[in-house]
Amino acid sequence: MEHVIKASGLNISYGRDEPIITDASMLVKAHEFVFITGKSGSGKSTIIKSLYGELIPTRGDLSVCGVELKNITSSKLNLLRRYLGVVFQDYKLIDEWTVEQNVMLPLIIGGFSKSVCTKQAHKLLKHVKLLHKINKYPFELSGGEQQRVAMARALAHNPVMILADEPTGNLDSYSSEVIWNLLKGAKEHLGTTIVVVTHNIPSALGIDYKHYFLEGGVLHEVN
Amino acid sequence: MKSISSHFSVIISVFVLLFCFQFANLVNKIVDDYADKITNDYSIIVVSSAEIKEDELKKHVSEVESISEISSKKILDRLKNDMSSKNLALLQVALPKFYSIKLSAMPNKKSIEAIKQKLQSISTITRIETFAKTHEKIFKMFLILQTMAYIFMFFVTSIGVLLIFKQVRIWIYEHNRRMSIMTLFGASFFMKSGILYRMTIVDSLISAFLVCGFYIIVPRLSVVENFAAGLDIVLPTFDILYEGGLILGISLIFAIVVVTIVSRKIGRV
Repeated sequence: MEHVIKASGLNISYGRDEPIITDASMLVKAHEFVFITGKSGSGKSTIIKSLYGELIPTRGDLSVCGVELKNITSSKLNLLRRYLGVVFQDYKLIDEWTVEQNVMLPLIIGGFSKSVCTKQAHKLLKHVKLLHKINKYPFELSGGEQQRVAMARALAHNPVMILADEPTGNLDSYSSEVIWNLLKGAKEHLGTTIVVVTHNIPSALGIDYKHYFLEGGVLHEVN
Repeated sequence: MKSISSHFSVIISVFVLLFCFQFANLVNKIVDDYADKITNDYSIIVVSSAEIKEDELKKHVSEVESISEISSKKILDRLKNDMSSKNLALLQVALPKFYSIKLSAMPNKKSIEAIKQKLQSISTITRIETFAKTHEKIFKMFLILQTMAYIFMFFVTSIGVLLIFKQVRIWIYEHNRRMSIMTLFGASFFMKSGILYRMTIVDSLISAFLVCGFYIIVPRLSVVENFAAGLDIVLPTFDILYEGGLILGISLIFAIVVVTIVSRKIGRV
């Protein structure tokens, strides 16, 4: 599978409203690091939502990890999502679960044994420097810590691709640095494809990346 | 505390539901037993100029369970002192035959009339006594009681079902965020709803055991036994294997169906 994302002539809208994204095309190769930037309200999050199947394009063709998203069944979509790691701006942690349980979520869904889940959760929480908060609940953590937990969760099942929606949007510089290093590490050491929606590309990232810019609902590739 | 109260509302609703179901069974059994009893006590008396054979009679009147001849010996014994043995022998020959007919089921007024007409069509039968009024009243009283019990149970069951649906909806709203996050990571429907299934199944099982316990223990209490004996009612014993299994099965099926319906309806996240 050369291209992890293949999109052409995409129109994406919420319900029957006017499309937010029009005629968007995008090609992302495996192991690539991709940034999608644009102003607030330009539809950056909309694109990410369509990539993990929360929004289905009203026109055009979109395939993710070789799976065509048009007319996809819910069981196929569930299967596809198990190969993706998603990081949300609002973290989306399960409030009544501990940090450890939250990190284990994709592994539980993937049907891994409890010992594998625990081992992997401990390893990742050590990476994001939150091992000491393993039994805490999300509401007991700061925003930066919650996002680091969300990052650990996105990496837990070694996904083919990580989709991150403004992962450092509300974070302090320390947490932001941890997140960028993790994303960079995932690409370099695990060969994970990374697609990040952000306002600003960090200046000192030190890796090659592809850049798409979104303006007025139209996606441009920046050379 | 909130969690305990939400469990209680399901346990109580399912308990009421199963209680009503078993109560309907109990009422049915009691009415059937009583009807059998009345049927056994009830008989139609016929006077015939010739002998009536049971098979012949059943051909004419299908409702007949059995027929037995009432001996005329007592009447003849009473006349022994007043009549000569020759006349007594003549009377014995001339005396018609008396029969008591038992029916297969408790008749109502209409069916008694129908049976009477069928019996009248047999030429040898000269007189029929049916005692219609007394039994009609008892039978009607039982039917009214049974119907009232059913109506009451229908309303209580409806309220129980509505309460359970409402509680599961509340659970789903409470778990909506968790379910939607799990969906984003590819969890299947049953994985997302697993907690709800577990909670409802556990609550239903508790209710089923409570209902079984109630119907096993309460009829054995001396107060209840004396009360039933006063009404000339035998309380049927609770069949743990059959009735207990049925209650357990109903509660489990009900729990699974309710959670599936409600989570499919609301849980599309």
